[in-house]
Amino acid sequence: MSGWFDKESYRRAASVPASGFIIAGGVLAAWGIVSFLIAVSGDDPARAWRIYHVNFLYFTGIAIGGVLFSAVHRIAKGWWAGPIVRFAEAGAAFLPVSLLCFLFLFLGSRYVFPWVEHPTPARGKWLTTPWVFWRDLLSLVAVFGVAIAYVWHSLKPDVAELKDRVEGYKKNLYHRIAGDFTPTPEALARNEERLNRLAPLLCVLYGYLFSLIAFDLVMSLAPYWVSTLFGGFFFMGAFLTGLTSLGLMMVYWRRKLDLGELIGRQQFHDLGKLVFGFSIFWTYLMFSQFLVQWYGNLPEETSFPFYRLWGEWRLIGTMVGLMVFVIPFWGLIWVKAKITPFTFTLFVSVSLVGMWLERYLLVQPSLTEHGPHIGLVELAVTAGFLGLFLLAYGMFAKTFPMVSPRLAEQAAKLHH
Amino acid sequence: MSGPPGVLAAFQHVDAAVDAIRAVKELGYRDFTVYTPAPNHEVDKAVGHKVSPVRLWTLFGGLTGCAAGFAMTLWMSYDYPIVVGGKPLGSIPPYVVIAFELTILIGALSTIAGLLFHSWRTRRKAAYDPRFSDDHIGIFVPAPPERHAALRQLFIESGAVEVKVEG
Repeated sequence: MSGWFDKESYRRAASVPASGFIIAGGVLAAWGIVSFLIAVSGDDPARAWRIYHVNFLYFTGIAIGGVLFSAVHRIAKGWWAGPIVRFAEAGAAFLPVSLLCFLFLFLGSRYVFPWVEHPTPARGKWLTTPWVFWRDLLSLVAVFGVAIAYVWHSLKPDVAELKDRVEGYKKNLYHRIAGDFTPTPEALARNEERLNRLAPLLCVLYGYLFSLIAFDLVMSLAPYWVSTLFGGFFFMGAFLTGLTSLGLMMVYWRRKLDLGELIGRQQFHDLGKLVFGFSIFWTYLMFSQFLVQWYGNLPEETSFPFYRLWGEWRLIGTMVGLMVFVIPFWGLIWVKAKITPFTFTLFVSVSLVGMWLERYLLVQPSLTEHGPHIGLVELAVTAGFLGLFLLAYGMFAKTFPMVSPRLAEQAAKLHH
Repeated sequence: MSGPPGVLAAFQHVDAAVDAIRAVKELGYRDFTVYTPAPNHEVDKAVGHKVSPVRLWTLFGGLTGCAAGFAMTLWMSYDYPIVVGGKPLGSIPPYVVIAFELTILIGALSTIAGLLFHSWRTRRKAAYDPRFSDDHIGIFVPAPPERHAALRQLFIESGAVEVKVEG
């Protein structure tokens, strides 16, 4: 059992150089926060709050999507992902930040939620600040709590092995996580059992509670528009961003840590297939909602999609369709394009940026009279959120082993 | 059965079968036949077939179906014009559904056709044993009688549970 981390590549992955993440993240975050504060105290605070909301939704989706990928790989027994799951789990580090961002959002709630200043009688008490705030806070705490517990137990065996070889703050933390865990087969099996329970729990909670988040924080921005499918559309989109950002992280760490022997054709091919599949699924959900609303042609239903597909928003609407569906579809349909790191990175990035535009398109047109306007404030706030994400991710990478030798060995056994 | 002359070996373990396949390939045999009761990636890899041409049938079948779906619905709407629900005659959104279904249908049917076509063209007679549909992996190597002894030796060394010489 001893000596998982004696192999060269695992040793490299156990203490990774993450200062790049932390420095870049710190600079971007500082720029974003300063610009946001200036914009909020300026004469158009609503503009800053709107883009804040878009980015809060987008980066929360990336962070929870990563942890969800790990849970899904466990439920589906997709052991091929063994060497890369930790890159996805690292997103968990952003979840506490995301919760703070949610609390902070309610400082500006009157700029974001139209029903704060113009209550919507048709929705009664359901859409009032205390109700929305408390039920969404509890939902986020529940999902994030289970997600962090999941990552905690996933780290446990790896951390237990390293706990006496690390120094400083890591030592305390590792001892805390490892607890009285000893790497006996029984203890490992018990830990696996716990993870096998947490994974489906996380998925079910995510499905239910992120539907609620989608209804409360996105659909309520256009309080008279209803779509029962919107929750699913929203959280599956967030899962897609989790997959695509995992793709970028995989390419980055593979290169940075020289992990070519662990992460190969299989990982690129399979993750490429998942991104391809979920791009189609995103389109499927979008279209199945669009079709019925188009057919029924009821003004209160069609106003939401049609406003985004014609007129001023047409450019963004078209770009979202191209970047999330058409380009990744025709790009990733070929095996060669999935397994070549350059094309894989290219199409995955297109999808990731496209999903940002999608979140922008979901939120922004409900809140403004005018068309899309992406200026310095929007860029700075987006960069600020990216910075916070990179900062949290970098801290995780600096602290914990970024490849789990157990899972990597399990994957290697599949195709020797 | 009156197949071509050759040697038929039965294996109980995947590893042994994979070793035998590699050894047979090393000797230069290319037209041997492998049976497995269930799909198996290791055997697949050892045999090392080129990518199947059937997938092109699927692609062209799918594209044909998609085009046919749009062509059929649009042609019908304009050939016998009835306005439904105040929509334009040629309404793309609902026709996407029909085009999508036909993509799947013709794609699947042409896949089956491609499978039959290619396996018909490359079919060859080979010895068989019912165990290969149950729990054994089989390898049949067609070879002239003077090479039988060497092949037999090879299979026994790589761990075959039974070796039969045909013809």
